[in-house]
Amino acid sequence: MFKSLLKSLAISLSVLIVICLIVLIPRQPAGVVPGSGLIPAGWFDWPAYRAGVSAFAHSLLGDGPPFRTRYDEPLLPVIWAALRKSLLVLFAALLAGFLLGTLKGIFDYKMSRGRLNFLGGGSTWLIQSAPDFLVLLLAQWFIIHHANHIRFYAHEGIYAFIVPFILASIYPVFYVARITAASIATEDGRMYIRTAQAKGMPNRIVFYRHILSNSMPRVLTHFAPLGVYILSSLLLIEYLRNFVGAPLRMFQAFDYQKMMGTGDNYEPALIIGLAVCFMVLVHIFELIGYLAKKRYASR
Amino acid sequence: MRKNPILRIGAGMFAVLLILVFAGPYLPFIDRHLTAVSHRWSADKHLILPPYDYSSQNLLGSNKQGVDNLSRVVVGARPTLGIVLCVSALRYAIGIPLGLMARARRGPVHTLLTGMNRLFAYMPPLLMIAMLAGLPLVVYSSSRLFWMILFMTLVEIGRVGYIVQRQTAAIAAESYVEAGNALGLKPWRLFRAYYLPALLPELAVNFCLDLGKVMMLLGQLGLLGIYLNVSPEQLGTVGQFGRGYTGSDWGAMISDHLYDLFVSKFRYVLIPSFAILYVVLTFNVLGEGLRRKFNAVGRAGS
Repeated sequence: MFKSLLKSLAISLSVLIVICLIVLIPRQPAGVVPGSGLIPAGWFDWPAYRAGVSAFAHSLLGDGPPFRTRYDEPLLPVIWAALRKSLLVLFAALLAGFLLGTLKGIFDYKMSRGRLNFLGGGSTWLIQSAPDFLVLLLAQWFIIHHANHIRFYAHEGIYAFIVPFILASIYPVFYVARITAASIATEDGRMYIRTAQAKGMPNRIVFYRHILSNSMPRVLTHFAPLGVYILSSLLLIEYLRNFVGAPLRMFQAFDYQKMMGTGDNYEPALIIGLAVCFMVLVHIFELIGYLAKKRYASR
Repeated sequence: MRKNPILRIGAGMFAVLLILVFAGPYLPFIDRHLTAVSHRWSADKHLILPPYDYSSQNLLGSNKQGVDNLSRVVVGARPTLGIVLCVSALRYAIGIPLGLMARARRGPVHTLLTGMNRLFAYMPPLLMIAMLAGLPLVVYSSSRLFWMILFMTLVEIGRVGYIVQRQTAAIAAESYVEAGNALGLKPWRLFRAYYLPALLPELAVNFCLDLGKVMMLLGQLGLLGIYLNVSPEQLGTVGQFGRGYTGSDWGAMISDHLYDLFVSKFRYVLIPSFAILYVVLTFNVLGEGLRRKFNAVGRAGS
């Protein structure tokens, strides 16, 4: 156990180093061919790369100039402010995904025997198949043109939470519903279920005590992947709402310009800082999923 | 044979898509050359300037340069689907061997897969591609599309490898594979005659679903304003790039109209988005149909 934990930690750290090395690749071409105006002389500037990595390492170890953002702010408060804006929505969407998703999964499973199957599994499948950005665009279009009392771009107040929360939890609900329904279907019909039914136990108790509690651990293995998914889908939600949470702040730090690739405001330290936060978040998701699974298994 | 309506619907949708890709540009109401109609005269001699509204001439309207939107979608189908197919095929061509090599769940390849999966969890694929798209290597290169396809491939290889690894591990536990091992068969023979037949159905289904995922990624990149294919000449002429017609794939079509989105005009972004929806649905229906077909075959065989 300890050894595997150590190995996992080593992999995480090396991944982090890889991220640092990718982020620190110099963003300006190595000079321009004289007289040509735009044609760069080389794709990759080794001396600049070495200098950049060493400067970053010195700043990290504390014997260089401290990291600043493009607006010359200290780094940590900026990262924390961006993270705080996304965290609540992230965890709320994850929780809602699991609670509502399980309910929808039970509903889908119950419907799967009847003629109205398309209302259950069919609807889940359809919504899960739709591209997420299209769902976001349609929601934005509807709110702006037909439900104007909802403030789509709200930065504070109740809508600042509700709008991104609902948008972020659409996909998780249907994702969990699909897994729950499939998991229940594999559990149902097993010998111990038939035994319980044969002994005359009420169907409702068999379902909730036996089937559901035994399919939950399988559903909970998807906790961490779903958290990662919500994190990346928050990027598009924040992008469309122009609300700078952690994922969008990272995207801004790339300073992507369609003309020249990267502008002058590229913020490598900020990107790495946010990546570290995402790493911690992923491991928190994994821990919560693990603990929840363990609790179910011990019952 | 059991009835499999879902597979039939999927095949039908796919056939429509193929017709659109290969014959679409030659249909009479499609302008293959995407000419910009700078102005038109109405019946009562009034000057009409683009963007043109929905009409019999422009079924989906036109953009601000007067290029027919329906033609853009139809002409763009070929490069779009080409990119999608390329990315998915590459993912599987690299991911399958990696997954097979990592089937024992240890060793360097397994560590590599774990590392890649972690990498794209700490830095979600969309963000990673957005960051890499700004590298001078990509921006000033004449083969930008090649690099973008490579990045789109790399971000999901870990996932493909993981799927293959999991399935191979399950197959390796079967007794007939143990029999093959006991016979001392060579690895290639084991792979071809024991693993591959059991792997193929599931892989075919996953490949279909993956095509849908890549299609979605293309749309997301478009929404973030990241072009997959811009030539250096277009980069050089500043004025043209800003307003001109840049790439022909659907992601670029979304990117071209991002500014309309910011002033709440959704039409131009929604047209290619619905095209993407159609493709994603096609591949998902096809995948679901294939899954049912293979499940039915498996049940009949057992």
